[in-house]
Formats: sequence, C-alpha cells, structure tokens
Amino acid sequence: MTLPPRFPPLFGRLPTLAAPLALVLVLTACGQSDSDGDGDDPNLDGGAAEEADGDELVIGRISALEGAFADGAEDGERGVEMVLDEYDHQVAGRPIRTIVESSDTTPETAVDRARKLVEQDGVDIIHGPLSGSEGVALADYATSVPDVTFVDAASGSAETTLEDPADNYFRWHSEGAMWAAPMGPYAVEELGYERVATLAEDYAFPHSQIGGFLDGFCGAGGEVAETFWVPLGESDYSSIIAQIPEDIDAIYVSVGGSDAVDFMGQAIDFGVDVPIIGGSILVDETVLGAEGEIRDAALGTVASGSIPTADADIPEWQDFVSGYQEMHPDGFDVPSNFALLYYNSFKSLLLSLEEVDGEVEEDGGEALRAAMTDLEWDSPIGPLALNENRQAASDVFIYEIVEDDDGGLTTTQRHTAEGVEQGDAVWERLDDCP
Amino acid sequence: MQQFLLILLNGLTSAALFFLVASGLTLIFGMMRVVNLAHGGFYLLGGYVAFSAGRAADSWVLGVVAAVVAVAVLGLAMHQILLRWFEQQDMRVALVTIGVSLILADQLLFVYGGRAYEVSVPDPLRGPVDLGFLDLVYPRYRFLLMALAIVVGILLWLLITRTRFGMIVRAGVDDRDMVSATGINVRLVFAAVFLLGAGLAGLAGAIGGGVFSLAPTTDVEYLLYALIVVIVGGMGSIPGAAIGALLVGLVSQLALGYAPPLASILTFGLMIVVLAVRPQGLMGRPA
Repeated sequence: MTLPPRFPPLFGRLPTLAAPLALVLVLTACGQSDSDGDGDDPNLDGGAAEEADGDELVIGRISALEGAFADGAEDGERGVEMVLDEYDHQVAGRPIRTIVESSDTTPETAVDRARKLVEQDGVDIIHGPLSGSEGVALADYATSVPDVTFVDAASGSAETTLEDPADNYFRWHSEGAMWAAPMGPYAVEELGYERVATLAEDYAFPHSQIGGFLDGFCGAGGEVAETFWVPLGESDYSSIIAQIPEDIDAIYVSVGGSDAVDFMGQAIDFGVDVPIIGGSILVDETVLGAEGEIRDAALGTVASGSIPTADADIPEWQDFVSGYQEMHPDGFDVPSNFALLYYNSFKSLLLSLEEVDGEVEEDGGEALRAAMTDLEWDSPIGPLALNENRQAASDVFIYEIVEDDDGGLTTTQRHTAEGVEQGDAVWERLDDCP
Repeated sequence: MQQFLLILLNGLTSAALFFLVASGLTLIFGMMRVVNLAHGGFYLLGGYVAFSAGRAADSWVLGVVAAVVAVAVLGLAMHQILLRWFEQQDMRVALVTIGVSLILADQLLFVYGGRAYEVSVPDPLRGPVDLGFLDLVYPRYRFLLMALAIVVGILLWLLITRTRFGMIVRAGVDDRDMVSATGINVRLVFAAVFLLGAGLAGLAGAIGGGVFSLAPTTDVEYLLYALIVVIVGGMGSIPGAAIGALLVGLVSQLALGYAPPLASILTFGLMIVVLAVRPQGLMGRPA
C-alpha cells in the first residue's frame, strides 16, 4: 500500500499542493501503519507468544511485504517458517518469538523499521532485509548499534559487505555481482553472444548484477551496445523497449518481481525478437508463477542465480524442495530464491544461537557473533562459510526456462559455477564495459 | 525518428489509460464535489475482477463487463451507504473514501496476495501490428486502448453537454434545491453519476490490466496519476482530463525514454508549472 519508491522523496519538496495530493499522503501513511504496525500477525509469528516468559528470545525481522517484491518476501517467509518448524519454535531451550516489520524495499523504511525494532522492542538480533539498497542502509545503521547482530535475509548489493563492512552484519548468501558473474563468460563462450544491451533497475542490487555480468562478459571479449536504467517500480517499459538496438545478439535484463512480469509481457507485445538473458530475479519462481501470458517471452531465457533448478541432482536441495512443498502446498511449485535465502540465513542464525546456548543479551551478542563467524554448515545449495567480511561464497547456477509436461514453465539446469567468491569491486551504475 | 515515434505512441497509450482512470474521478468530482480517494482501489478491483471473471467464463469480454458492473455497484453502495450522510463535508468524505480504499486494498491483498497479475487478452488482440512505414510495429491492444479512451471521452462529453440527464446534473451542482423543486429526484441522478464514475474506474482497471501488471500498490499509483491528470486538466472537466492525460502521458514517456531518472520529477514538474500559471487547472473553473 505504499507508493513505488520513486514517489516519496518528491513530496517533501512540494510545499503547498492541492488538497487531494495531501490526502494521498495521508493515504500512504495510513497504509504503512496499517500493514506493519503490529508484529503479532498469527501467520508470521514465531508461535510462542502465549507462553512468553523471561526465557523468550525475541528476533526482529524486516521483510519487504509491500512493493514490487511483496510476492518474493511472502515466499521468503515460507523459508523462515520451515526453519522455525524444524526447530519447533525454540533454540537452546528458549522459545523464539519473531516480530516482523514490513518494509517497502526503500532504504529509508528499512532503517525506520530497524530503529523501531531496536529502540522500542529492544531486540538484539535483526534478520532482514530483502532488497539491495535496504541491505546497504541497514549495514550502515548496524555500525551505530554494535550490540545488535544483523543477519541479512536476501539482499544482494555488493557494497553491503565490501565497503567498510560492519562487524555485526552477516550475509549468508552470495550477492548480485556473484550471481551474475558466471553468466558473463557463459554468454560469450557457450551462447555465442558477443554484443549485448543491458536493461536494469536503477538501484544498488542491479548495479551489482550489471557490474558482475559485464566484468566477465567484457573480459571474455563481449561488447556493450547500450545500457538502460529504469526506476524500480516502473510498470511501463515500452519506451525502453522501443530503443533496444537491432544489431545486438541478446539483451541482459536485471529487473525482478512485478516489474519483470511487466517487462516480459510488454516484450511480447512489442515483438522483441532478440534473446533475453537474465539477472537472478528476472525469471525466478515469483515471476514464472505470475498469472498472465509472459510465458512466450520467458521461454528459452537463460539466467543465473543462487538457486538450483527443480531437476537439479543435489540431494540436500531435493530434500529442501520436498520439505517446502509439503509444508506450503499453497506456495510456488518450486521454492523461489527468496525462500531459499531466507531459509539459509535464518537457519545460520539458529545454528549459531545453538552454539552459544541461546546466550545473547548478557554479553551484548559477542559470543553469538563469534560463533557465527566460525560457523560452517551444509545448506540445501552446498556448504556455507563466511569470509573475513562476514560474506558467504556459494555455488551459482545457470539455468534455462523450458516448458514442463503440463505446458507450464519450469527451469532446467545448464551449468554450475562452483564456490563463486566475492569480487573486490563495488559496482556503481555502469554505462559500458568496466 | 523511429524511436521517437514509438515513444510518442507510448505517450498516447499512457494518456489513454490515464484518461480512462481520471474520467471517472473528474466526473464524480465535477458533479458532486466528492474527491473519491478510493478510485485507485476501484481500478485495481476492476483489474482483478476482469482477471478472475474472464478466466472463469473463459471470455475476455465477459471479464471486462463483470469488472465494470462489479465496481459500479460497489461505488454505488459506497455512495448510498457511506457518503450520503456527509454531503458537502469535504474532509469527512475524503476520509471515508480513504478508509474504503484501505479496506479494499487489504481485502484484495488477502484474496490475491502479492503476486503480479495480468488480464489475459484474446490472441487476436495481442501481438504487434506493422504500421507499414519506417518499420514501425506497435501492439494491437494498445491501439484498442487508445480507441476506447477516445470513444469514452466523446460519449461522456455528449452525455454531459447534450442530454437531459447531463443538463439536470449540471443544474443540480449549481443549485440542488431549485432542481428538486422542479420535481426532479436529484438523489437518483447523483447516484447514477457515482455508478457511472466508479464503473469507469472498473473499466480502466479491466483494460489497463491487459497492459500493465496488477499488484498491491497499483491502486495508489493510479490514484496518484489520476489526481495529477485531474489537477493539471482542471477538477471536474472532462475535456480537461483529456488534455491533462495527454500532457502527463507524453511528458512521462518522453522523460522515461530520454531521461529515465527524471521521469517522475518532470511529471510532477508539469503539474507544478500548470498550477503556478493557472491554479484551477487548464480547463478548470475558478473556485
């Protein structure tokens, strides 16, 4: 119920507008407090609220349940529920209660919510957020509250753990540049695309994705015809599509959520006939599960990301998939990357809490953070451990969108890049080869 | 040149949709001085109904009809049950419609979730059409959208300026008591206006949902666009809404095409410039 992120900053600069616009502001404000004011939504709660005693461990969570990624966040929540279910809603004998705050993928809101969790609810642990710029802002905020432990949920901007990384910010998954990096050489060497255009949303996560992609792509001899940057939450891509040059082999697209649905749908309407290659969230389950007719554009798209395909021959992953399907019959056919990333990060947290016997408050979280630094475990996508910046490395999967037996869309594995490490560049908006 | 023409066409497409959304808003305001802030919610509801009903009946046309009827009825109900008691009390009316929009948005989120939907459009209406010059191709459905906006605009204008119904409505706005005294049931006429205005929002959602995805926040987005269009064009004026929609559509698409980061600033800038020069909007009557 919030405005797309491109609107809010404008309002502050318009002193006296017609009354209705002011009322829209009221509307927005009401919308926010309405949907995120209380943390005790039974569906999202840890489930242990009623038996609260001094032993209870409260974990603050920030999830993007509004905006372009609402669908992804919803699936992320399913991942968290799986962990809580595995642990029977308690760790080291302490019942877990989670307070979920919804953000709208803007950094301002994410920090507001974190402040609320720390200052009003007094939490010592925050799990979240979903989106790239939010993560950057939270990592920055983390330096001002050194006793609070932050565990990133799914946000994938490179600088979060590269630029003066906060000692108390942990990211148990790869970031956007790492997810995109293997796609660069693959596009040149395997797909034979030597000249591409790129289209991405203009914020931290796609900056990382385009950087990661172009770094490898240009290194393998590829060249860039043109780059397009659009605001997050843009629903009309037609004027961008109109400008896609003709002399290219493919277009690399890093948009996600409902924006990706819009782009894919409009690409068909305009008869775009260059192959589309994808960033990590262009054709994930949240998009393939969208209702409508994006299938024609999505079919044949090759993309890379943190998540194996439904048919991937990885036993731990297959266990995760069947666990997900069993627990969430109303979820996607296959868990989206958000379900996986929320799961991995939240489980990393609980594993670390187990190590320290659930002790958090007494020592300002020091033992917990030490335990998390040392933690290594086998996640559904393979072993996870952190580097000195508290950033994980992981396998990255390249997959293609194909038709399944029922005529729906699914993904099939093409290539696995093993143990992709974080690079050392913080990518800004690139307009050509780096 | 080819790109410029395509972006221009996109501007017209946006304008067509903005006009469809704004026409109902401005109609209700013009006739009844009610700023219906649930209008964006009506748009989103229309889109969802068109999706669900269209799929259930396996007919796009039936889906669109169902959307128009459902939203029109909801609008009428809102007017009869909630708004009648607060006539002439602008602030209360605004707050009630905000309340309705919030409740509606939450219910829609509950039923449809955060997933993005697109209204399925029949195959013959999909795909690009070759314009026959400069290698220009443009989606067929978007031409339909433009044609529809033009037809709706003309019909509305005729209704208000050339029919007895329009005459009563215009007279009723200026002096309700006098119109009542002539034996005309003003309440009935006003209810009809609300029915029509809300139905237009439902139509816009059903048609727009075939081009742009429907998701939570779509309601606020279109309410905002509709308000900008109506403010630029002049509250209450149908020709004003057409001109406003054209300006906003062209400015936003040209900006998106040539200066994406400035797109929203320029759209608001347009509104500010118009308000600075002509506070009542381009076709608005001075208050």
